[in-house]
Amino acid sequence: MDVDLIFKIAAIGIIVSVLNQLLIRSGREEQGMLLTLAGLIVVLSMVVVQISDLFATVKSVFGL
Amino acid sequence: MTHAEILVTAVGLLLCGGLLTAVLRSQRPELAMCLSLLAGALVVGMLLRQLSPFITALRRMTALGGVGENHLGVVLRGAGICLVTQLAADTCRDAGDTALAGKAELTGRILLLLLAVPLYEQILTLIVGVVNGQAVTG
Repeated sequence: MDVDLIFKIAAIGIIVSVLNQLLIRSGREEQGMLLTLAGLIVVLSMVVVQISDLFATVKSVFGL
Repeated sequence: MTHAEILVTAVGLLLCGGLLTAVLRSQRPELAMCLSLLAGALVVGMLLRQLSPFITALRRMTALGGVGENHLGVVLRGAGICLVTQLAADTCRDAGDTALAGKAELTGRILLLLLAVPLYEQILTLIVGVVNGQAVTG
């Protein structure tokens, strides 16, 4: 459901930030950067579906 | 869905989204922005789905009043444009990019102008017709 998606993204954010700290502490900054990018792409791919859903709803309701 | 359910769902979604965004913002601002965008999109989508019976009732009422169907269509399209551009502008402003937010608002204004031009033309032709003493039609 809807709330699950919000919690999922928050969990991804927390996990990514913890792993990023871990990678930076162990001296692998570029891998941390890649991890950040991967997290962002995963989250964006989840958000884009919902945004397109919203736009379809706006189109059908307001007759755009 | 009853009204109370809609209210509780919207408030719950917004509170969860706001809290988790506040948690994420210090560590991962880009993911926090995605999260707030998602929460907003979910709530607005839910509200719009509840709004569609009102729109059909509005269409029925304007048909009853003899107002042209395309006039209501223009108003509704304007409302949709405002909603979408406001979403974009708010998201950009949250991300700290005021310039892009301004561009989003400019886009909305230009689209609204384009939408309103045919109506202005109708009014002008009506006025010109009245001034010239012709019979008023439509």
